[in-house]
Amino acid sequence: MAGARTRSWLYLPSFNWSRQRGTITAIAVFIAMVVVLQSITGQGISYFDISSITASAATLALAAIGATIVILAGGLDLSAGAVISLVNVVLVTQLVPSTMGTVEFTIVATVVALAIGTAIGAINGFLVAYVRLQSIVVTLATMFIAQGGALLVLKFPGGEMPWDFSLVFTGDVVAEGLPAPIVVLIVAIACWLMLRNTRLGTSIYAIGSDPDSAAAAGVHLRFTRFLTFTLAGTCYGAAGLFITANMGGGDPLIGAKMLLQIFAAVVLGGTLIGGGRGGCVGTVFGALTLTIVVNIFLVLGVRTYYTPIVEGVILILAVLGFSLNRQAPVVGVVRYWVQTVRAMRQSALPSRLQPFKERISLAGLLGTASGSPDHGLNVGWFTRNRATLRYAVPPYLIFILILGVTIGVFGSSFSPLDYLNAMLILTAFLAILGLGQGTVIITGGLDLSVPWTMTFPAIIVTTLCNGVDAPAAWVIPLALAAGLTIGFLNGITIVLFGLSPIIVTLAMNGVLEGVSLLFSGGAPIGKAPPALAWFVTGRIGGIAPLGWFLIGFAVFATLFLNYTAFGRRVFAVGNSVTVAKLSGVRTGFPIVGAYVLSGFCSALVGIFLAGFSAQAFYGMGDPYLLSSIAVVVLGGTLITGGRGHYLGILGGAILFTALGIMLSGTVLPEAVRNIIYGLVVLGAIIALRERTTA
Amino acid sequence: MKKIWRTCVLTAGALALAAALGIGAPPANAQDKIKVYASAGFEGNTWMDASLNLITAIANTAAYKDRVTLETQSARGNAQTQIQQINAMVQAGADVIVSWAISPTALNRAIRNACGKGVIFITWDAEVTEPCAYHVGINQDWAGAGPAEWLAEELNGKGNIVFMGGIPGNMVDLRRNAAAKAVFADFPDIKIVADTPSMWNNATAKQKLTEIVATHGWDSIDGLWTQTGCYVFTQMQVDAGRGDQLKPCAGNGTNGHRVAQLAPGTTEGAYGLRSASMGSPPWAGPLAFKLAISKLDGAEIPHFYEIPMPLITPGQTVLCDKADLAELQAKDWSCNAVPLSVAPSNYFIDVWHPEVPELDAFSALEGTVPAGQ
Repeated sequence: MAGARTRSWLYLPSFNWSRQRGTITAIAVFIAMVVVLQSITGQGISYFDISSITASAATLALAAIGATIVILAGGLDLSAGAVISLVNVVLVTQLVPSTMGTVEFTIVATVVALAIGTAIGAINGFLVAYVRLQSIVVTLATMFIAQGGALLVLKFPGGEMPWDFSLVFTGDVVAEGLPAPIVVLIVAIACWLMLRNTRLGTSIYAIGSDPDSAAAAGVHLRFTRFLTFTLAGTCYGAAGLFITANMGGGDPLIGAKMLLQIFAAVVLGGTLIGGGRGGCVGTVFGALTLTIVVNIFLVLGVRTYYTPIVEGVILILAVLGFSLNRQAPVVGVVRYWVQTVRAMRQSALPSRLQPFKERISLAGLLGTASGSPDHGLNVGWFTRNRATLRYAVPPYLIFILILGVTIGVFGSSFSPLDYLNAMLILTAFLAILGLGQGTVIITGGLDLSVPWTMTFPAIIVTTLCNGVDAPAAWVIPLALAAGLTIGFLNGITIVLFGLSPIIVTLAMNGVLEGVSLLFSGGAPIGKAPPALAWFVTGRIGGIAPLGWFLIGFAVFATLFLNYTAFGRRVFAVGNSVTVAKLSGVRTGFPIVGAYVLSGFCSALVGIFLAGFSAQAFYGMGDPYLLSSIAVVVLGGTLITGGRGHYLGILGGAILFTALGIMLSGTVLPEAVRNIIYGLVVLGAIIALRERTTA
Repeated sequence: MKKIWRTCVLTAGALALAAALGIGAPPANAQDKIKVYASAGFEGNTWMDASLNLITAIANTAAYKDRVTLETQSARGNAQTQIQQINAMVQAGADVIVSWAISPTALNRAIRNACGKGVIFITWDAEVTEPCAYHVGINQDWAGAGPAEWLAEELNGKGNIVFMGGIPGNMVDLRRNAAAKAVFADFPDIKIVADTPSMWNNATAKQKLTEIVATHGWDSIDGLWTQTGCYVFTQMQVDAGRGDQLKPCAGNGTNGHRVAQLAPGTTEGAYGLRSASMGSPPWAGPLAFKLAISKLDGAEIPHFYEIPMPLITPGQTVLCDKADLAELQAKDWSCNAVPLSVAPSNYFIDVWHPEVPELDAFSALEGTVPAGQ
């Protein structure tokens, strides 16, 4: 192929344009945005605009480069925001500017920032690569710990960095000609391009595409994985350094809101979530696009209500631009229906064929094969369920431990009935969410739309009922239907267009945020109907009705997920879509079904939560995104799909709630609580770790 | 390449859609008017809704509507977004930026740039550390200490209390908590048995209180100092069948809380709650707007304009019918609660004040200008 191109007098290495489609699209979208901004701004884009937009984008871009590297290698890293906060507060509190010149100070600050990031990244990498834990859980734990650490280092925003230091990164390299943030971005891109062309770069793509083939081809799987997280940490350190220069001060919460934006930048940059395709050049332009949108909205005067909606739509459209082609599943679906209709006309549908007279029985087959009818099927219950027990039982054991500590600490004032009641109510929220999120995770997906899928139905209920019971009879079904619809839209988009669940649900979350703002016109008012409030907080036999409901729900969920045809198909799809398809599973249905279930569960919890606090408000669902993932994983569900048991998830929810109750009763600082949460999550997953079989 | 173009076209389409949905053309005579931007760090609770409605209303009163254009943007909780919005506002020719800052430090460089270009940058409620900015707000130390003193006295200096702050890592939260704890430190018999953040969020407050009651039990709790959730605290005791022996609570100034202070039977939601209700008044928003315009007109304004913090204890609650301008004037601005049918229980009710005599409760609830203003 390269030979064909050497006819030109200038020799160029072969360049595969189609492989760079994501990057080129990202750049094109960015240019389109620039053109839009240029045409709507009265005086055009000024040097100051360029400087401020790139300064705002640089933090996001640097962090997103780190996230991209991990994602390319097939992982996922949630620790970025917390690491940025930690780096920021350490720089502000620990460096003494007066003793150093600007150059020295900048060098020291850079070294410290990169060292902190790299160290945390290395810890993540070690736990993922060598202890073989799931990346999303490890980084969830380090996120809690780093956030706690940031709050310990600096309790409240403050401190001041030297002005000259800020100018090094955010000033001008050439006055009125070249802003420093652009140089930072160029350096970052250059580093990435160098990395990509090393053996490590190739290995990263290889293990992201297919770890087994990569290992077979001689790639050091573990070491590469370790390095990706370490490098990602370095990038977060750089992002923390840059934002410190850009702010000129410290704030222990500065990175907390960045996580979802980082993913959005990665996705807009054309990187495939799941690994193997994409790159950091696109990511940088993705970050720039997300940033410039803010300016466009400002110039257009778009109401804040619409911004999350438009951002969500842009995200989906951009990704559709990357992935819509003749191989897209939607084409196959259309072809299937065309053929089905044609077959129906010709009366040649499979259902018209003669069915088998006899049902095939597994025992019968085994019996004929081995000559002994009970071969292999007559082992004990424990033996058959050993694998499930190994991951479903530990949460309960840890719960018993926590319960013991709780009783020991609060012995004198501990009231068993209040404890049981609180446990049941608060566990119910997580256990119901756990069914939805767990089912989605078992199919190999992730539902990031949980927060607003909870909040929107809750707002519907409080607004339309406004403290009156009568309308609840139709409002609550309506709100639940909204949840079902949201889940269906998530699922159908994922299945028909073959998009990554992370992007679709992330975009859905943004759209719902805007829709909720529009629906309630600024702030949700109104009250939950009293019957709903009673259901969550009243008492029947000393226990809230929701507590009794939970018991029934747990039985139903266990049977539903683990003992129905739908459940089995969910597991089949999670293990391998291809194998499931070849085994006769219509793979779209269980996937869509999982998201519909998750939408329903989220809506249900949102409505209960409205009853719990008698109101609905924005942000009420936010704390539940990470905890819904945490309980699923603590319950032994494999984040990559295919393995899990509802009783494990329930155990995870019980454990998480018990830990919260124990910590709330104390006077420990929140920072320490965060760290304890992180350590417990880590400890639990180390206990759940699969034994090395190799 | 075709697909790339398609993406561009689709994206441009999305933007055009946004344009069609949200926006009219900018006013034609915008050049000679004072350009005011409101930059909210977040959006979506009744407190911010009231603040932004009041700012919209004041800009539409007779004194300002022909002189001023107002546009509002929210950063949705992200400091980086707010930095960039402020930069873009300055670039768009802002004369005044009225802001609720998401972080007291993160915006400093953007603010300094704004000041350097002659923009008047004024914050309400949430302060910034940049010295060129102006600020309108309450004394946050007193917001913690005032309710704490009341609670300590109410308990006769003795008892177990639950302590609930706001969002850890937030400066306002820290100042209130530290001032309150300093007060409690003077009472050796007052013991903080549980200390946990409410995240300024009623559902979290309720969850944490449920958790605390599980380990401590109602009988070993004598009172609550909180930044959110006296109403929730009261409701929980009523649900638990303890409505006749409500424990004192020092906390935030929502309408439901004020109404709960009234003698039982006065109106719906009145429990005779022994409580202290403080609040950071949303009317600081329109006042910041007025001060900034007066500064543009040549008046001198202080960098920190302290406004009085309402601290309403039982017996001081004044329920008004609807707190429209006529009623407020007739009652000499003494109202500090309205029936729950007028403003819901979670509504931060300190929205009117003689310092902004143009506005009333409906300016906050609906953004309307009272007749004749």
